[in-house]
Amino acid sequence: MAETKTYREALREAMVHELDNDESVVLMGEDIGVYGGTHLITDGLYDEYGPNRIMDVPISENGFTGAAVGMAMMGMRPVVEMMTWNFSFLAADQIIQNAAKVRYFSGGQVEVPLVIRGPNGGGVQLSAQHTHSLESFYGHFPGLKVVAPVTPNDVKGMMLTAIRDPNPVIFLEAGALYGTKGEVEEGDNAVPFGKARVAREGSDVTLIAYGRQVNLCLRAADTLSEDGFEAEVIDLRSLRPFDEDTIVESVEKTHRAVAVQEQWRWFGVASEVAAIIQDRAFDSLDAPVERVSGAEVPGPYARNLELMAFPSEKQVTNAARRVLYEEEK
Amino acid sequence: MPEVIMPKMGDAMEEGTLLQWLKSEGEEVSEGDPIAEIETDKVTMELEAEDAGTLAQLIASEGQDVPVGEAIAFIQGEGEEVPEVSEGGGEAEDEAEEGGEEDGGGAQATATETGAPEEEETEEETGGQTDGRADGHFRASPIVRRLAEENDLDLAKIDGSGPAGRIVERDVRGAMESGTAQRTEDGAAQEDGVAAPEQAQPQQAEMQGFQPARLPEPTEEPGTQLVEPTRMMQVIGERMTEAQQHIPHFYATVEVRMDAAMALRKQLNEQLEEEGVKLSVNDFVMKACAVALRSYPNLNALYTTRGVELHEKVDMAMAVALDQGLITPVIRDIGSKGLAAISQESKDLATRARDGKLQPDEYQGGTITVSNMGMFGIESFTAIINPPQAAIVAVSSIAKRPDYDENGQVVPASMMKLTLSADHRIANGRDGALYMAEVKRVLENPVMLMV
Amino acid sequence: MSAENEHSEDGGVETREDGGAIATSSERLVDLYRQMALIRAFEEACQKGFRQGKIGGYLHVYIGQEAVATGFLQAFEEGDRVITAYRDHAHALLLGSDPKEVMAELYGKGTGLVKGKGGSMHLFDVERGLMGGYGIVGGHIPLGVGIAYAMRYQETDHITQLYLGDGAMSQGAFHEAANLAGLWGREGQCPCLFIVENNKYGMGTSVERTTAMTDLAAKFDAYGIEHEKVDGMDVEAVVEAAERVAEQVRETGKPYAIEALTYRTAPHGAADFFENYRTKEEIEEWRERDPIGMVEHKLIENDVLDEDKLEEIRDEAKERIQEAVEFADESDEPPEEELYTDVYAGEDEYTGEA
Repeated sequence: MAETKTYREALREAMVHELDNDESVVLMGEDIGVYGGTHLITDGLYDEYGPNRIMDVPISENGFTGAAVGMAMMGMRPVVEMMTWNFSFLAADQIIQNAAKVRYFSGGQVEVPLVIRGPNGGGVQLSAQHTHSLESFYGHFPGLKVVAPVTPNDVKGMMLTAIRDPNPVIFLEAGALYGTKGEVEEGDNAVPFGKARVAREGSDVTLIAYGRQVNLCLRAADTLSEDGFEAEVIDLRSLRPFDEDTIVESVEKTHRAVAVQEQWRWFGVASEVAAIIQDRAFDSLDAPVERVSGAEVPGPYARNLELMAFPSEKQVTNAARRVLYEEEK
Repeated sequence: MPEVIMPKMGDAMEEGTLLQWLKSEGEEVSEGDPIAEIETDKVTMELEAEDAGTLAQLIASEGQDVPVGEAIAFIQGEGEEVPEVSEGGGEAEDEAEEGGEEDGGGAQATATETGAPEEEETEEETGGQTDGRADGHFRASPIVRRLAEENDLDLAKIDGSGPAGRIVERDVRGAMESGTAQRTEDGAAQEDGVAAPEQAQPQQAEMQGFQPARLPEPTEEPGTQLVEPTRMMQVIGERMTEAQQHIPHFYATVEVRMDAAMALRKQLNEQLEEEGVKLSVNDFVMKACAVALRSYPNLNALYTTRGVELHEKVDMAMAVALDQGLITPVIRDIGSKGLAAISQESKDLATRARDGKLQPDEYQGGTITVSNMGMFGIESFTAIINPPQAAIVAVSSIAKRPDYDENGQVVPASMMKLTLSADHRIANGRDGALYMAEVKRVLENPVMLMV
Repeated sequence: MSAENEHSEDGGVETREDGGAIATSSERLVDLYRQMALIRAFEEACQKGFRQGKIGGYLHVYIGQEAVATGFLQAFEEGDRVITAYRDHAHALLLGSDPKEVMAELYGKGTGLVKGKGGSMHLFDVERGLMGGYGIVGGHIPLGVGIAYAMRYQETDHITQLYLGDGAMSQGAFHEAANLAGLWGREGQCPCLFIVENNKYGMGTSVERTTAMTDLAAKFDAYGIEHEKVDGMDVEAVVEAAERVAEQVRETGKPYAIEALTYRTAPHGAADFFENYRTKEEIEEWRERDPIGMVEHKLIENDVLDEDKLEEIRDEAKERIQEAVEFADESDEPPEEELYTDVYAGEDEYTGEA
């Protein structure tokens, strides 16, 4: 059974599912309770579950994220909302220094079953301080798990998995897509981490992305198809753990790859993808792996500049044409 | 006897300087007495005795840098003897060196020395085995190198169409279809003819070039049946697409009066009947095409990576239709063979081709091709060049037509059209025209076939 | 004894001239002495091990501050939790961690308390209630508040002893966490006992040079948290305050803060530039009030123990620590496969290698 739901509804459904099934689950965040959540993800939950489980917290990311780490160490399962991931820098010490590492430096004596979730990425004219894609920032640290689902079905299934995971999970939502709809499986559709999704099959070139850029790649694939080139689109969706095999298998078939990311190019996921491909599929390559990334500038405000700062369909199709040794358009 | 060591006084401290001794040799010290001043990169501090006794020997001298943990002095308790140590502060360094040897450092070094030449030899051997295709002087993508390795291709024979001449996958696929890049160093003629099933390799099954740029999905409507291409169909499709797209064809048609040739054929067949030989029109045409090449050898050629390769001998491929495809067995050095031999060989090749019993060396290679559709009553057609050859001659049916004799009288004549398809990169129109005129002349004066 | 009348106007603590007005039973005082002597012996052995290069990284010893943790942990009850920063050896020993395992941890051995993965700054003994030593000043304070919250969410009557230094009071994490504790405590949901170990210096910078509001306990007023001060060199005073206040926190579920005025007579780390920020005289002055020395003095004065008996106790402690040192020295380093364990919990424990 599947039903059409928005990304937002699917996300809420997963959290409700776990609130109902596990008393140790609490939601924490700024304005998630009485106000209903800045993005209405938690709308209505305060009335149903009360202030002890839907916890409004003061504007103090470092404090409440750290408190959530402490709660998790005691066996609670807090789901912390970052109103946007841009604010998580204030909590980075707690996330990186404590959540990610405490299991290791305690010699395995504690677990941190913690989810930190919120909208990631830009695209809605919020300018420099509110435009970040933090997957490689958090993906850098052993001890964290980092996922970035793009479909409503995945956001539900991966949130179920995230809440049940005994480790800290950085849950990067496609903030610009909360309203988009898709088929969502009913009930418990937990989606395992570390398994990429083939969003479109193709034989000529592999486009690798995650989050919002998956949809861009699907559009680019349609355009390429008009020219006779069939692109395979891979939605990584889980960045740590990372599914190398699906990428490698695809490139062994297509011999050409383009990695697409909204974040800046330097030290990004796309570079990791390129490195993995050259490492494991070198003898299958017909062209160097291309990367399409955001412009190396802080997020601009003006719509035209903002559009220029993010990967465009044309950049993706042209990168694909370059690896196909075709003329750019 | 307790040693006084250079203490570690910071997490990154590796050595310290003994600034000065605050006690002299032989002096009594109690626990906690400052005995020396130590300087690190961060701090200067007094070093306190951790044991009581006589400061027996000052090993380190003032101003000396001492590694953390090394002894700088001994404190002699009651009844203890001072160990023998060498002069001054050299002890620490000597000990370190000796210690290194005891740890097996010396033995390791020896092992490394003996190990190194072996490694070099190994490298040299590998280097010796490396041939031209893998030594890096061709720019080629990794998949190209792998395909070359798996299919025994010589990358030197392939033009790269990628940036800076990089050989990319489509180049090598093209070469595999045309057979232009087979390695030939072991003497075996391995250039591909049109593929036969047993020749197809797994990679070839994946070939995509057979498919035009954009294909519709099957309608799967009632009354349709989906036939998946056989491997041979795929390969032929690949090769013909490649040839049609990449070879600049030009065409030249002549009409040949075949009465003389037909008469000669009838006469010869009567004489050879007992030997079981029956010459076909095609045997005459093939022989004529070969004879004419003596005058115009530039059409007996292959288009290669480094130029047009002219061949002295004519290896003539003949197109043989199969139920599910097409194959081109080759009559080697046809120019040196008589009509009877050609006839027997062509019949044998055609029969075995239809039975699927040809050996690869019987259909690979060829320097020119003749394709005959005359038996189907085809008036005229053009053929696609069989790459990397320079030309193909399309043979049509013989038909009775009115013609003029020497006296200008209309007489019935047996007429046949031959159409040359030639590679414009190898030959110009005039070459083709002159060649076809020569073929016509030979066939119309069939005695030429006997020389 | 109320907290108020013990404090001088500048926020300091007046020394009790009677040498301790609190009537602690002799037996108990001897016991406290034994515990502090063990810590002292352990810390001295650490300094020696560090100088010998057996202990790596940073080393922060508790010499001079023994009365604080010793006193407060008298109020510890099973199920309670303790969290502190990196000066954490005493807390582990007092909670009953085996000195052998603690020393082995410092020596970087596989038999260490956290398997050789944390070292001096990260002692954990979760079974005994120690939720860790942490290396980032102030970074553990939000954790402690969260741990306390969980205790009430899980409907227990346990409390959290949250130790922090004077230096941590300048961190945002402190203020954010204290705010949360006050907020949650209003509903009786945060049984957190803040113990500010004010040893006058954050490394080499005195409290006076880091804040204009040097009454550190009073800072808790901003977050609606009750507070008092205690003489952190006087173990009896600490015990009294600890037991009283812990009980209150346990009953109310509200946080409480105590600033213990204490002094680190040892260097900040293994060695430091002490003359840059404090004088030898100052150190000597505080040595006069050494928490162990003060108890020795009282025990002798009250004819509980004589000097020989005291030495016997110290020797016992040294002997026990010597055993720990030998154990640490002889233990094997962690097996190499431990490099990749404990990164993730659960079935898919990350091995670190692709």
